[in-house]
Amino acid sequence: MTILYVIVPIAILLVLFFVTLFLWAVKREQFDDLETPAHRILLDDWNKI
Amino acid sequence: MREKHACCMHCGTTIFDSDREKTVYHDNGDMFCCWGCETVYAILRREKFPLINSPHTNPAEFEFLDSESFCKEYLVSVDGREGMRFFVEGVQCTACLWIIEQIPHWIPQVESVHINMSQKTLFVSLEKPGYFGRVASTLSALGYRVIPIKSLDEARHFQKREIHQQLRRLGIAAACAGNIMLFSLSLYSGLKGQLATVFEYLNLAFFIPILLYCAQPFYLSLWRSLKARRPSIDLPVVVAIIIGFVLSLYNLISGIDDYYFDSLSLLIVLLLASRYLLSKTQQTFISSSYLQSFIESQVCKRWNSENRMYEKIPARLLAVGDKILIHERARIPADGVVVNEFVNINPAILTGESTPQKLFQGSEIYAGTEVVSNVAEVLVKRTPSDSRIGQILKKVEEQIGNKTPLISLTDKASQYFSVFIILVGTLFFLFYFRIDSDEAVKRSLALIILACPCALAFATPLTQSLSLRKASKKGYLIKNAESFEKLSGVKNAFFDKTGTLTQGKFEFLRWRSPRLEDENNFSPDQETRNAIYSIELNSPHPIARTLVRHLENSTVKRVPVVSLKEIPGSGISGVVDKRAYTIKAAAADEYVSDDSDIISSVTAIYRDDDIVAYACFGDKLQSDAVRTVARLQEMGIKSYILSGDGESPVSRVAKRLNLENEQIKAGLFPEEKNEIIQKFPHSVMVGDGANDSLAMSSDAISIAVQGSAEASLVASDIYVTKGGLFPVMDLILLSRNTFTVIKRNLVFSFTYNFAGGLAALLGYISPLTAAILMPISSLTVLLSSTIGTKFLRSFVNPSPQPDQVRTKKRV
Repeated sequence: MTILYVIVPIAILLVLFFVTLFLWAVKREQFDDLETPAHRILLDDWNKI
Repeated sequence: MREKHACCMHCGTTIFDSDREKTVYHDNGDMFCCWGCETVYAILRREKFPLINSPHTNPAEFEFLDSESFCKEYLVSVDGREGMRFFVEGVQCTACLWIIEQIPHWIPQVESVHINMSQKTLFVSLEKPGYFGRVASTLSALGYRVIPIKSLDEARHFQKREIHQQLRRLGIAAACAGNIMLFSLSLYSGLKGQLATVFEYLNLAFFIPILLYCAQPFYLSLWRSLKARRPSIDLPVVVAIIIGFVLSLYNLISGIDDYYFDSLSLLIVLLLASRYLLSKTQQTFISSSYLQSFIESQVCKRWNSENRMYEKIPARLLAVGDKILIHERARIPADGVVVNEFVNINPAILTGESTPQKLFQGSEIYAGTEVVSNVAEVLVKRTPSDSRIGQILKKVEEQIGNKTPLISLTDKASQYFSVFIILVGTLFFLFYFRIDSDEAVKRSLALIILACPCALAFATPLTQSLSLRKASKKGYLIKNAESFEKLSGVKNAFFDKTGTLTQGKFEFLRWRSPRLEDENNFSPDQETRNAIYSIELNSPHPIARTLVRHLENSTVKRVPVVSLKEIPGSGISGVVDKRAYTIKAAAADEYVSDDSDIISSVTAIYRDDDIVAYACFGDKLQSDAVRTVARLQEMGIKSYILSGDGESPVSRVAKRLNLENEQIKAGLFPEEKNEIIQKFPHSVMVGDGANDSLAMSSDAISIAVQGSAEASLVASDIYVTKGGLFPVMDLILLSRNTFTVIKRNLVFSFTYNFAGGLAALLGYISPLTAAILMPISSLTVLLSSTIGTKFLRSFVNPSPQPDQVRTKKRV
């Protein structure tokens, strides 16, 4: 069970990492519009100017 | 602009050299991979591209967008770029996205366009000022309706920050709650000893960000509602969070195995999630427009007596006594008097009258009316802000500001419930204190935590946001959830006539034979049609224009006309192929009036003094109007017509809809509509015109139908982007069903909480049971809401009629 003393801190670090990642994504406005990118991916690159 | 790749002009497929013999070459050298692409491209070019490439698609209508005063208020800067935000109606699919994002391609002065399809907003930034009008008219030529939205820099920024803040809180809360639950799981399954203490303190550590950061909105909104002396649903939530935390902390320190960190954190996550969803689905941004600027910023031409010519100025600078010139299809910006010989106008948006009118020199003309044909020279009597419509818009803005906030049923119910629970808890504590003081504290606190109707606090917003999302997929934009909830209890439906019950366009309805016997499908012969077409082409009269438009849809040919003569005030005559034709308004006794129709004007066609045909004109009823009103009746909702039009056209429509005399009110001023609607509680106002906007901004629920004037759009609670009247019924049904789900959740949650509370008082609830029971309760309500809204019955239009298909704006 002593392995838990290693695993639990790692788990906590992982949590911190993912929370930071999430906060970064929010800041980059990745959650602002969930519909348009889904359509935009269907357009060919040559359409973009 | 576009680089010349060796690729298909239409689909973009690369054309390899080996495939060159298969390549289709167009006359101008464009390459296509196949004939299919070439054909589609040619059709697009012929049908749409001329509209885009013509420099003046419809300049008058959107000119105001580029006026200095308008830009000052509407320009926003996003990420360092200055631009204007528009609400775009009709954006549906990838093709829409493509075509709209081609705009910088067609209008080189546009720097970039960015569309947000979930909000249906478009952000346009320019390289050179003065091209917003071009963008708007191009979009409108393509069939989209564009409305500029005012988003104050700060407000917009603030709103975005608010949403981001909510999302951050939700994310952090979810991460912490997940870990708390992991640790708790091992604790509940019997972990003991040193590791258990570590886990307990880790739980505490993870709970602290939730308590201090994520739960902040609840504290704030409770504080605000307490200050306003209005109990809110946040009261029991905050009580549960604080008491739960204090109790758990106390137990942790004194070594008792009772904590609520896991249940509380889960609760907060669910609450935050449902509130975030709801605030994302409510379409509040349309309300932020500033109404007055639409008329005041219009550009018009003012007569300058010094250099004896007309010069362009924004309407807000107009003064009493100015002489202005308004072109065809533009709106009159100020109240005044006509000074040129005559002008044909369409007053529908202001008064609700469906027939175009001819105004002669000296007659009064009101701001907001549209010039149909000829130009109008007007002497300004009242400035735009003092004009009749300006006054109405001012009142609308006042009334929107004073609207009493609606309190949803859940809020009300949980307020009483939470006060009741806290009361019971205190009484129990006082009573049991003498018997066992420790147990008294424990049990009454357990009661308050367990019985808190928290499941409701998130089940309701979740249910609402799910059905709002459903509604928005169908093209109904709902600005706030409370008015949507209130729609379920509607007992009276008030309809505007012109543009709402009817199509709002003056149209050709049908031919009618002078002899009664061959009534069915009568149509004049080809020769007569050619003659009518050729003669009417020379008349600027709105009826002539309508007739020409109708005839152009069939095969007609222009033939030479001699001795054309206008009959003042009534018609036109001419000689075609040695036969004299006269086309003039028929007197009322010349034709048999048929009450079942909504004909408002009849024109007689004479050939050599004999009547050969009658042409009937009027404003067509929406194809689903009759069925909608009948269905509403079945649902126990009484329909009324509130119209500014005269008694007789209104009663004809009422007859078609089987409405009683008391259900129609004609000849109403906007203020009177407002007064009537205020007298009827539980009512919904359905309208489209500026004359409805005052009634729509009242406390009644209001629905603006497709194609509504900006004023109605802003004043309404719900905006329908689909044609016809079915959406009204669909919305009411959707709302009723949503409400049923909410009510079911209420009943379930109360029973559950009541039972749980009783068990807690009797001392049967151990922390473990509480920890299991609380999420189960939440989960059940969650399931009930999602399944309930998923299978929401909504009215399906049995047979979509061609009329209901979105019609593109003709340019």
